[in-house]
Amino acid sequence: MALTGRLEDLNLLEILQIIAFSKKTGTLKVESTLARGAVLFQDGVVLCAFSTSATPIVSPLAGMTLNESRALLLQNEIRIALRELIALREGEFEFTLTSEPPTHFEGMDISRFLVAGGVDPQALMLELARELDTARKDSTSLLESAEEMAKHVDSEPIAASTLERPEITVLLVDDEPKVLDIVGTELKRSGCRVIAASSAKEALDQLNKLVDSETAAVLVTDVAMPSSSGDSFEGGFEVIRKLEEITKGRGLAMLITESLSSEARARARKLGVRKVAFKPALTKLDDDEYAADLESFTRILVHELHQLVAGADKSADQPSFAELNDDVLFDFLKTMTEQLRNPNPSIAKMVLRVGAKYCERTVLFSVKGPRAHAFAAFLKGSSIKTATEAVKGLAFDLQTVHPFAEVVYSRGVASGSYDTNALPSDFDRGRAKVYELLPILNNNEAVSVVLCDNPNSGGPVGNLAGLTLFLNQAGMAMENAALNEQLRSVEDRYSLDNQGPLTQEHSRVFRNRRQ
Amino acid sequence: MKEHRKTPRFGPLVIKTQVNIYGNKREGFLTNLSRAGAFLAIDDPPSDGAHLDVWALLPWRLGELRAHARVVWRNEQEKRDDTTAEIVGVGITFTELEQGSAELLKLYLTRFAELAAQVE
Repeated sequence: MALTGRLEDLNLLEILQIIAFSKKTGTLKVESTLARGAVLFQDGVVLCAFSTSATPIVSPLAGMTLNESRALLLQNEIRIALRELIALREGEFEFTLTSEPPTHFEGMDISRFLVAGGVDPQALMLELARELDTARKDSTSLLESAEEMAKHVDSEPIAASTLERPEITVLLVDDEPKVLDIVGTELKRSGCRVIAASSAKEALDQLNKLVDSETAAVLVTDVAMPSSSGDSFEGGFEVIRKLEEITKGRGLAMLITESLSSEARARARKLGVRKVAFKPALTKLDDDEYAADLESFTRILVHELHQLVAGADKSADQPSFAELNDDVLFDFLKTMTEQLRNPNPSIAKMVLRVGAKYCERTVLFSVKGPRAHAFAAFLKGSSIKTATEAVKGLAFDLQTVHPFAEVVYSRGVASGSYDTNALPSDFDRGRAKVYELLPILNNNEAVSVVLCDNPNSGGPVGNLAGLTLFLNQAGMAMENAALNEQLRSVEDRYSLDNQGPLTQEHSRVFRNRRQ
Repeated sequence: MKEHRKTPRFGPLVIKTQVNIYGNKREGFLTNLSRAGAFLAIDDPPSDGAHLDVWALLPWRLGELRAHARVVWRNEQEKRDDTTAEIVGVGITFTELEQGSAELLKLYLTRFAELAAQVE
């Protein structure tokens, strides 16, 4: 049986360890939207590895005579390729067993690229694990420069936000009246503003009105209904296309459907649909049962909607459409996100500034081993320095403080109530009753946890969609910074003057990757 | 090739660890892990016979491993052949696994072996 699965479930380092331990011969293929590659094994030993950017570097080696320096270059090539593949956090993998070491890959004769005797997997895994760890520490230190920042920052408090929390406006389109009625009512009950449309034509009119009033909305639409011209029975796609057109690809659309063919799913993806939710089929004779099913469905739909708007959908790397109606907040987030490309003075300070728009207090915790310790904070009405001083020395044990552990281990957002999920007594909750915890992820691990609460007013924490979106970007910025540093060191390590065109090719690829 | 040791060693498996050597906290990586001990890859390795506390977070969110260990051999520098990098560190034997750690370690090694067995 071949070993297959997704990198989200089993990361590449673990897969390499499993294959090396089982001492098998075969080819491991890795495919994601960011890169693809392959690792070839003989009896658990790595013979060769390719990745998207490493392949063009390998090609010149085919013409070189077999000697010690070529073998060394091939070994380095394996490391470069694996380094790139290990950085992938999502995608598919498949290990296929073969009886003999592979000599061809995707039609190419690779026999000249195989390292005789292979590379010792134990040393290789150790080296890669160390590099990942160093990259993680580098990125954490980027965050922790806030500690240094806190010592020098002036006492000017960051202005707390007076902006309204963005409300989710939903344009709900379905030609089945019962769906419009029940789903619409439940969405309203969950706090959404609902604009209902019972046909594609009506939905197009509503979209135009939304544009005129500069109101942003999340489109939630059925697929199977007549188009405005009556030419097709996939009117939902017509509405989505219109949304994409008027928002220039930034709109948020979600399909609700009873079933979806693979062709329709592909078409939906192409049109930018981020989520598909399957609604109950209208085949039940019992009205009450159908209504109950629709209510349950809406509860799931609400959850999905919030995920969609919060940017939890991994493909949502653009600001959410629902936030566009708050131009000031959007411009602020846009500016801050752009600044992440050159994080100066520090990512932590930027996180605190964005956090200030969403709640009265933001505390940054660094995750180290079994503990999370506070290293920077913002509190409405105080300077960063004062707020940071107040949380200095505060540390939580991730084995006992459950909401923190949940964020770190699940890598997702967690909510807590100070009454039921009490934090240690040395944490001053003020009048806050609840708190929200959000992770900053680096290489798929939580390196930091952000706590948000309202200790002055005691009010609930509002919609943190924008902050979540920004933290995702901050995590990526840290990864990029660490990766660039790593690439620089690799470039320095392998830039040997006497290797002529190959070195130039390496440099070209590294430069391209850094851009 | 099947492993016939009483406590099979899991060679290329690498887990980050924190160790406390006579009050001095340091970081390293466990490899060649078994229920009886491991190889601790660490710079400036402790001397033979040294006692240490080992803490590691086991993958797949299984939980933490806490153990007391003793250095049984030391490798200041090793280079077996041209394709083998030097792995500096010490061989350690677990003298005591804290409550729950033995079960977690067994669970982890079993799961790892099961995954490896899938590649057939």
